[in-house]
Amino acid sequence: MRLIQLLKKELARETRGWVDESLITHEQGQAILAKYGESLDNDANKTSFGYYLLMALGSLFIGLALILIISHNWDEIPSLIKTATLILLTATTNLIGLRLYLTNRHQAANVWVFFGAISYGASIMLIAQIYHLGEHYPDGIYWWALGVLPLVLLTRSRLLSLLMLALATIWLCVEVGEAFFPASYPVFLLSALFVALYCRSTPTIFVFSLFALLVWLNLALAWLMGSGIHYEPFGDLLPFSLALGLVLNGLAWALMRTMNPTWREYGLVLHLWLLRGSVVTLLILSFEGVWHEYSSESDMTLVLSIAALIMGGVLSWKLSAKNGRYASIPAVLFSLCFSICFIAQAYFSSGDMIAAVTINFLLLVLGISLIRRGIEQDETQYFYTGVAVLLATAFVRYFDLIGDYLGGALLFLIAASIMMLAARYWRLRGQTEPGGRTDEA
Amino acid sequence: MKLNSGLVQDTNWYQSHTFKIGLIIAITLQISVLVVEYLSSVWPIWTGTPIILKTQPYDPRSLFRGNFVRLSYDISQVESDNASEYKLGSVVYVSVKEELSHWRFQSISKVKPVTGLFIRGRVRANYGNSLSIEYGIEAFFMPKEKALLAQETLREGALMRIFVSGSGKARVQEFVCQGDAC
Repeated sequence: MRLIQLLKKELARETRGWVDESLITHEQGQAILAKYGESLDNDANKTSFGYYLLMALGSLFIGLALILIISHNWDEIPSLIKTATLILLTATTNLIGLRLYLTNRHQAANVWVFFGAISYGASIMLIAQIYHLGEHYPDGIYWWALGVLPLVLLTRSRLLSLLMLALATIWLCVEVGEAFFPASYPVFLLSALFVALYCRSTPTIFVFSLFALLVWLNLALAWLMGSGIHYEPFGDLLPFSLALGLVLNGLAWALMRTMNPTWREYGLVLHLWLLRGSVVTLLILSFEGVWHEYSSESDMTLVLSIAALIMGGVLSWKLSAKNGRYASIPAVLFSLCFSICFIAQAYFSSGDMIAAVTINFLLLVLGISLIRRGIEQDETQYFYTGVAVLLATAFVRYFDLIGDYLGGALLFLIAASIMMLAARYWRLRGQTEPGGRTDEA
Repeated sequence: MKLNSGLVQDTNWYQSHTFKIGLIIAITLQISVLVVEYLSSVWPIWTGTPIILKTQPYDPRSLFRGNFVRLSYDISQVESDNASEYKLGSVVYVSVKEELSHWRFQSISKVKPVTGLFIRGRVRANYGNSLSIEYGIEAFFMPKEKALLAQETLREGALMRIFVSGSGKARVQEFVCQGDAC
């Protein structure tokens, strides 16, 4: 899967130019763009998309105006009239949306239903205000999100999906803040994922939903550790999260293999975000002090977390094996190195140092493989990410030595040896392979 | 369903009976939520018994709900010898009795009392022999200026008219006090 998938709009514009200049035929242009889920004729959607976007933003502004009315406390109007007006407003806007759907004006209908959803939420809050409801207020946000959910599944609108996800996530935050567990949060995520996978191309919603699911699973584990009464965060959440990250990476590679261009794009975007996330995570874990602070709760939880890491690695490897060595080897390597780190940290007196050295080794291997992958696949992003990883590792290790000065120097020498050996290996392999390149860098 | 169905399939979907009926049900669901919220708000006022509780207003603010004064009642903190037996979030019933100007705490129970007037609440915290309970009547919404004025002028305490339904559900009605904030 190439990064050009993320530049498909630009590719479509270029292809239209080639067709206009008769460099390629119309059919050839269509065939090229079809590979990326684009078309030569898509340009006509631009105007209607601009209209749609401005109308949606307008609806949002009207919604904000409604919320300002909430803050003003319009107490001069009788309660019953206020309530009836709100219910009527919600019903009217939604029914206008329904009518527009029936007459095939889908974008206008989406805007009206979106406005209806805002009006519905504002009504929940206003009725609570009119009658001084002091009950658990996150329930109001929950019912708002829940009321939008069926509309998301029916209209398959990205706008409504975003609204639902935003509301559900605000609900998750306030519910956790009030020391309750948002058990039904995945229902919203799964609905958004359904729309993203089967109805609309929306990488943002897809990637956000998966990462939000990761957060929810962490909360669920902490809630379980607190016997379902309160949150009890524990150290072994880290290996569980890393294991889930490995599985997501395998999923990203599996998606990049599919025939569906949208799914391929999802896989690529997910892979890129996981790559960024893994670089940041590894840099944080490369400090010996971080491992010194880390503590595992009990032997049983540790065994389970190591088992999760190994299973995550195996699953990731199974999912990515067909994509080649750049996909499958990191899955095994990450799983192995993380397991070594957590075992060493738990059972050896110098475990903190062993873990930090292992993570630095992993950073080194990641940087080298990214550089090599960038050169082999002619993808500059991977090449420069690899260079940045190696430079960042060198920078943090120079200022934060592992061991004493001599230990730090030894680490740099080992790193230099690995890089030179890797360079030498690829040079030799390039010379032995027919048509191999020896001077890519 | 086809994966990533194009505009043609979308048009068919929007014309289908499933979509039309589904959308009508979804809209009905939204309206039902609002109607149920309204009815559950006014039911204790329509059917309940009015009582007067002593309270203290403080700290008016809310991002989602506008301006209000937060009300802390005498019965918000109650003493109980077996306070630790009450789980956080569990439902409790607080019986109240009338004394002079307002109603006061009488007893607390995990089960619904058979006789007398009681308010249904939830345990929010327990420390030592003390329980912190919320009844859903802790917020009183008013314009910002009035809310600030109420906080200032009623610092020494105020009385609130509350309606309590037969099931113990309470709804706050109004301030029973003297002053500009009432």
